[in-house]
Amino acid sequence: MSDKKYVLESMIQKAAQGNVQKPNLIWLEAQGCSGNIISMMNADNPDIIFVLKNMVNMTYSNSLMFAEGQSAYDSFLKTLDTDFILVVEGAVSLRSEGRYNIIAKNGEKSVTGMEAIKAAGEKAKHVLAVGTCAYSGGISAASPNPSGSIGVGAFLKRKVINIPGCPIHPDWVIGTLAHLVLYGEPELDNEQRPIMFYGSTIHDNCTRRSYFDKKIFAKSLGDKECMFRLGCRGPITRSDCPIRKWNSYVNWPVGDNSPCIGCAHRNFPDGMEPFIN
Amino acid sequence: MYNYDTDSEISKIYKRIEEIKYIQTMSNCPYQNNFYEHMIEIEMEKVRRLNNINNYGYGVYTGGHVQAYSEQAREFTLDELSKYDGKNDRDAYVAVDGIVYDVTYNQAWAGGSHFGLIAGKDLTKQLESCHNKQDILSKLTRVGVLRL
Repeated sequence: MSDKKYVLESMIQKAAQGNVQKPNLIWLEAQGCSGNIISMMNADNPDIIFVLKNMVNMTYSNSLMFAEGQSAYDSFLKTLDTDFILVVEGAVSLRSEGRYNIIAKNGEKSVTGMEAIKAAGEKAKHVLAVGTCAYSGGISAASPNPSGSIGVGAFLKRKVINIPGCPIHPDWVIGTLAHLVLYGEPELDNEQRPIMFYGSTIHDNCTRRSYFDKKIFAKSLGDKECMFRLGCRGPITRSDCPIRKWNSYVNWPVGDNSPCIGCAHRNFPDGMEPFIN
Repeated sequence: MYNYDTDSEISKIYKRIEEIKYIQTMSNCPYQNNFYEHMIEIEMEKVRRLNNINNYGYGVYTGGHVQAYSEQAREFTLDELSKYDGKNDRDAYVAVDGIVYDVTYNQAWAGGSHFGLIAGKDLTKQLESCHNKQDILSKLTRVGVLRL
C-alpha cells in the first residue's frame, strides 16, 4: 500500500481525475525560523500551488494566508471544530509559560505557540512535526536553550509523525501529505519518521561510498574523496538527500564538496558539532 | 611485564573495601555515609581497571579474538592519548574503563567527534550512561590500556 516510488505521481494522477477529498490543514510556525514553509515554496514536483489547489485546504498559515490579525486567528479557531491535519514547524517553547514565542493576538490577549499547539494538537486528526526543531528541539533548543524549547512529540502526549530536516525537503512533507490523503498513515520507523524518506542513511546511498569502503579519505575540503575523516555525519543520519537532491533536484551537500552536518538527526546541532574537523 | 601481581592487588583492594564498609556501618550521619560510599566507588573503579588489565593485558584484542603477543599490551599515558584526536590524518583513540579503543573508522566517530565528545581522551565518565555500553565496547578494536 505504501508505494513509495509512486506516491507523488499517484497524487498528481488522482488530482487530475478530480476526486480528491481535501482535508483542512493548519500550518503553525512556532519557535523556529520558518525555513520549512520557505522550503515548501521551492517544491517542484508537485509544487506548492498544486498542494494548495488539489491536496489540502490550508485554512491557516502565518506566511501564506491573505487574512491578517483577528480574522486570520478566527480562521484558526474555526478549523479546530472540523477534521484537520496539524502541521507544526519550529519547536515548542516552554519557558515563562511560552511567552518567548507569541504567534498571534486574540482580542487583547497574546497567544503563545505553546497554547496554540496544545489546543490544535489535541483535536487534530494527524499531527506532523516538520523540521528538526519540531522533531527534537533542533537549533531552537541548542545549548543553553534559553527559551526552554522541546520537540512537538515530547510536548504533545499523542502520536506525531516526525519529518526532520533543517529545513525539510519539500517532497518529504508533500509526499507524507499525499500518502495521508490517498492511503492513510504511512509506515513509520521507531522515531515516527516515514520510512519511505528516512529508511536508509545518507552513507548507504552516498556517491563517495566506494572511497569510504576502500579507506581513501579527503584530506581537506575540496578533495573528491570520502569526507568521513573531516567529520561527515552521513553514516548516522537518515534521509534520502543523495538520491532526491535539493533545489529542484540539482545537488546536495556532499555533491558540492561539503560534508553532511546531520541536519535531520535528533541531536542536531549540538551533537553533530564540529561540522568540519 | 607489570611490576605488581594484579590478583594480589585486587584482593588487597577488596580488603580495604571491607574496612570502609565496616566504618560506614558505624556512622550515623548521612553525609559521612555518602563520603564512604564514594570511597568504595573509587576502590571499585580500581578493581575494574585491574580486571581489564588481567583479562586483556597479555595481548591486544580485535573484536572477540585474542591475538597472542609475547609483549605486554601497549600502555598509554593521558598525554600520549591526547595526540590521537582524529585530526590531520591522525588516528582517533578513546579510553573507557582503562582500555584504549581505536574509533578512527567507527561510523559514529566521523572526524574524531561523537555527539559532542572528542577523541584522544579518557571518556569513562561521559560514557557511563551510554546505552548498550558493553555491547558497543565489545565490538570496538582495542589498542592498549591506559596507564594512570
